[in-house]
Amino acid sequence: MADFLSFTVIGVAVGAIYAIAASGLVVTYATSGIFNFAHGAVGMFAAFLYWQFRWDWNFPAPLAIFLVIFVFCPIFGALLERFVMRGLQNTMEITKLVVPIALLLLLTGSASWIWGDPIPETLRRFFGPDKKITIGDTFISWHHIIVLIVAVLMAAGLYVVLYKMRIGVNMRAVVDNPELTQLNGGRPVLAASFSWMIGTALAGLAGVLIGSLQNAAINNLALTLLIVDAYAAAIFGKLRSLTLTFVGAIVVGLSISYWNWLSDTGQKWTWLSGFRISIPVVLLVIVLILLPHERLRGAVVSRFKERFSVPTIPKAALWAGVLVLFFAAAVPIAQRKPEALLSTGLAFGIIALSLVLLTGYGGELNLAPLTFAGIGAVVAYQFEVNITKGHINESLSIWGLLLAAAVCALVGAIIALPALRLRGLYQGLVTFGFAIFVTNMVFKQRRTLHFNLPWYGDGEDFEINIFTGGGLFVPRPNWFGIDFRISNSNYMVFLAVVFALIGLGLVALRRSTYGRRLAAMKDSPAASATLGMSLVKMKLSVFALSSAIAGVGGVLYAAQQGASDENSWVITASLPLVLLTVVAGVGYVSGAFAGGILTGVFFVMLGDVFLKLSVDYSAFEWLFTDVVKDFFIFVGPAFAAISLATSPAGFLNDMFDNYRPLTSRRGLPLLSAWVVFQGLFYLWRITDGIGTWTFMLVSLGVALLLPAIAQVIRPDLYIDAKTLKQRREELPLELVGVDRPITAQDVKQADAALQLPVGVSDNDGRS
Amino acid sequence: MAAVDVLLDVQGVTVNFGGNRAVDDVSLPVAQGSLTGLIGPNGAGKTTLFNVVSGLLSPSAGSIHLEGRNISKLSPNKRAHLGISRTFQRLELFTSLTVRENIQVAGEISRRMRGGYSHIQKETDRVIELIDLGDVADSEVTEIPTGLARVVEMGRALMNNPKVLLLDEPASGQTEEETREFGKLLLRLKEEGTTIFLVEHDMALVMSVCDKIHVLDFGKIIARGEAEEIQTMPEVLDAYLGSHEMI
Amino acid sequence: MTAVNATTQPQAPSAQPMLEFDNVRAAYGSIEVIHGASLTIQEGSVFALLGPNGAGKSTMLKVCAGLLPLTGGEVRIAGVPVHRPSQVAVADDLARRGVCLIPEGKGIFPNLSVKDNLKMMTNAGKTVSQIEDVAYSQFPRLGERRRQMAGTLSGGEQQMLAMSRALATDPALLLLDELSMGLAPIIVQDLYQAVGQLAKLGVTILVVEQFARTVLGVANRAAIMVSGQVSKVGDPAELEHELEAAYLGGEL
Repeated sequence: MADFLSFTVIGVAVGAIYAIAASGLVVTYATSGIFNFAHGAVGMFAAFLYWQFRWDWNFPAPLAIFLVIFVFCPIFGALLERFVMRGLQNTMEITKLVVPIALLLLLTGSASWIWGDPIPETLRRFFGPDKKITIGDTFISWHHIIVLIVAVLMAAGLYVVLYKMRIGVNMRAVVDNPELTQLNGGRPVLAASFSWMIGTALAGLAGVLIGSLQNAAINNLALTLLIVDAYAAAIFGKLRSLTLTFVGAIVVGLSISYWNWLSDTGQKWTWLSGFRISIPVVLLVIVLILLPHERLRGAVVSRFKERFSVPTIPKAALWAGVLVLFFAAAVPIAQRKPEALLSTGLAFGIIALSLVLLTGYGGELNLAPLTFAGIGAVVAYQFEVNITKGHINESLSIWGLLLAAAVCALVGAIIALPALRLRGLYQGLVTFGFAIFVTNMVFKQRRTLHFNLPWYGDGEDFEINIFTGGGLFVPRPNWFGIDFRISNSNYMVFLAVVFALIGLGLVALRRSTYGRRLAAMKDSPAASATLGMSLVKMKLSVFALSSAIAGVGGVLYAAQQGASDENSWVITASLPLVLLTVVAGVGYVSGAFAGGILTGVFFVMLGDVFLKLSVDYSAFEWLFTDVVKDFFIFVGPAFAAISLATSPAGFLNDMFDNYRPLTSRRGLPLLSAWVVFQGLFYLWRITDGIGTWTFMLVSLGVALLLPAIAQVIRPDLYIDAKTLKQRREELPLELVGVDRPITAQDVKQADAALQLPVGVSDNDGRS
Repeated sequence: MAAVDVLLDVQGVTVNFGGNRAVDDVSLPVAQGSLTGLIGPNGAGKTTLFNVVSGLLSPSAGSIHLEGRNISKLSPNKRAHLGISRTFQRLELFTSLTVRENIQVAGEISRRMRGGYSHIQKETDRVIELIDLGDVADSEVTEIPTGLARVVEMGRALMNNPKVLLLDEPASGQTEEETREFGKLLLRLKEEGTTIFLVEHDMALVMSVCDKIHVLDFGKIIARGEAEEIQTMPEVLDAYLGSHEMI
Repeated sequence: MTAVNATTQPQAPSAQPMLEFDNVRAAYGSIEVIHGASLTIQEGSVFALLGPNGAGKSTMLKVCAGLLPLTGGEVRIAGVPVHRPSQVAVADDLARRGVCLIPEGKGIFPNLSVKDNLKMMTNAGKTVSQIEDVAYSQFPRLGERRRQMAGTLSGGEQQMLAMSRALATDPALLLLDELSMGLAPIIVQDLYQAVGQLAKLGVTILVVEQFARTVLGVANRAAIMVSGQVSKVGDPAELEHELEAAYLGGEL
């Protein structure tokens, strides 16, 4: 009974913290329509800041709390609204999803950058860990009591703000109808700003409370995920009702606490403790599946939707050849480290190809491609270790790879089942929850499981050990008479070939009947269904196929790494890959390539450049290593997401536009000249005429400058695009703007036609 | 309602949205081979009724019958297999595909389109010719005017080889000239045996092509009859202009 | 910019134009729905804008209230262009300066209580008690339901609540969109009585109605819009016959 009481108090207290975090999420979502994936990261950052004030600089606790919750958080929230979230209105769903994810990475990265990585910080409970009161034979720590008091105060405060103050009425009004709010003279922008201030402060408060509750060292990612547990409660409130959110939060808190109490029967099963920390995400997925959602309806075809053009198969084959050639050419000049990096990048690229199929072609979401990759790696490992009873030197068999792909396809189809009814944000959350679940239940598994299978072996147990030693080893293949185990270069080229083949396969698939049906489903599920498409079959198949690709990529990635541990497959590793692939262009195979290379190579390389600089200029070592290098490694990927706002189809799309004239017939001489130059330059390098760095930098520079050079030498190549544009601009003046928004250019032309002085309408042309 | 020639039969359909009754006990037969019109002021529930017929929305009460068979429980794709095709008032084109691909993929999706790839190609060519989209066949659907986009939607629906074709405001966005041509096209389709169920705002078009017109107002059928009858019915004028007794 | 004052003029329309649409063009995305419409509405008059579905009547009101940018032309209130700069007007600023649009069918916040709905109207300057006084005395039923969620009110009560804003915030220019949509005749009569009162106070009113006969009693001037253009301006009674033609295909 005493146990029951104290576990109840603990459960309610934890639930109260979830309630604080979740209500912040609800407040911001309801007013802006943006699900702040970074909510947990904001809380983590605030908690670390609190640690800085309270435990590093020894401020008194009230002052530290005031500075964090009432100064930093509201200012940060207001800035966030003004400079990030406001720009997301009227963008497509994936952008609304990805930018907060970038923010999440930015914050976790910044925490690593500021407070060091991987040093976890210790936050202590208020009044110390040992201060507790005793009721009967039940002990309750002061911290829990404080948490309960704060939660009640917060609820009361939120009630007063939302229901008694005019700004609160305005905030709720915006949720109902932003246009009508304006017609009443209310300012939606102000309401949004205020709600982000409140939401951020609540995230911060939850972060400080839950961080301190741990009373132990906790690193940035773990703390972020602790607050993410509150998302289930917010979804239970349908991201709208604060009352239901509170109920949901208490249910989550009590479930965890009671599970702790009931399952505390020994340490036999790591699965039990794995399940404990999974309870919130399990509840999240259950709530997502069970809550009624809007039925399939005719979605408005948004004019903001991105458009990806699809290359022809011969063109794609040409590019595939160029890619393989490129990596083959890199073999003689790349050294050990760049080779390993490029291989990693390629393996990531293969995993990212699963996103091109699923998201780019199919319009479905998966935030956790590395989870599927990890499953693939685990399956291949089991296969090599158990079924073939292989030794550590044995090579990867084709059967292991195929089995991994098949299992991943099956798991992908199973995940598609709940995702079938869901789209966008909710679908993303299901895969997010799935990733955390698999990490807790499978990737953290440290025990060997024994199964006595009648058909297996001679009465031996079938053993499953996953990360028994903290890591798993997947051997590289030894195929086609080439041993990829000894030569890193060979393996790199092998990965390039695999990427090229899968990429080519995807282009062919997109150009097939299946690909067109996939595009149809993505563009309009309602129209596809009323033409006779079974959306269920379509979604299942595309999830399965995409997961299989991720699984293959995972096996090859694990083989590239040699030994990999659970951290290779966690959700926080998936997010940068998803983010950078979307930023590069998730509708293109080249987008997957760029996403993989950016994730695996680019930022690490940048870091290396600064490391090298720090050796050369030792006086500035602190600057180059601790500041600049860490900045690029930890924060760089998040900044890349900024480009998404300007170019929703990904930056590659814009880049390619500049190269396109070169591939026309008249551009070919110039292109050939470049190829010849590059070839000769390459020869110079491999005959050791110049160093690798010089070669790389000059080659890259020339390649990037090529369109600019072309424009100077052969301006006529770029005429076509221009005249096309001009022809469009030569519309009769009164028809300008009928088929598209009026641009500043139009205004200028109108001015010229009407012979207005230039300055007059310059103001009007701006929007 | 046992008449043999009723192809599509809407029986007592009611749809509630929250507390609002968008469609209220609507019964409406669409005769085999007919061109049936459904008109009414904004918000009368016409598109809602289409959503119920095509299976995108479950009604609160009532049922839908095709050739005497109750199809109320069937999913949208099953209904498409049985021969119901529709267009959308708010365009639902496949924006990543060209005009031609939009029409072709409809044949690739449809189970009523028998035959292999080359047959689908041939059918695509035939439909493009029929609805006169040859000039824009290779354009992106986002680049053509709204009036043409509606014709593409109709071409797409035709690829399902429908028994009954539901057209939701197909003429809005078209010029007068285009609308006149469009009316001729509807009559030609009807001659070829396609039953057409038309929701349209352009009264001139409705009055000139429809055999039978139903008038929906506040979710209820307030009148039905042939074009000339409808135009003189006082309750129809009231629905459009407001009641005389008001002031 | 000069403020628009709610002047109480004598009943007779004065000669000064309160609201001018000058060759206005407006579009939703790439679809233009108003193709150069011009209208002048005198101060203190009640002007009815009639026409069939999809003619662009509601869009004219939206443009005027600042909910939609122009793609061409100009809208002037009391002589001052409202879309400046760059063809965009800000609805909340206009609302605070006395432009009051009661939108069609969704003029209330369904998940806010009646009282909170009235509280929203204080953004335009009046106090809660001032607004409550006016609303509850005009529509006593609202007073009985002040704690109820507005979404649970009947259609007529909802429209009364929406109309309270027109009555209580003392607007200079009132824009009414399909006031009678979906309501029983008796309630429509009530609502138009309130409109009549406002007209007597000298408020300039622009009414959009699909049901033309409904507004004939209160309007002293009217125009018909067809396909995004103003096709006819005149005395309301004169226009009734033309309307039938515009709505039902012109074969009468």
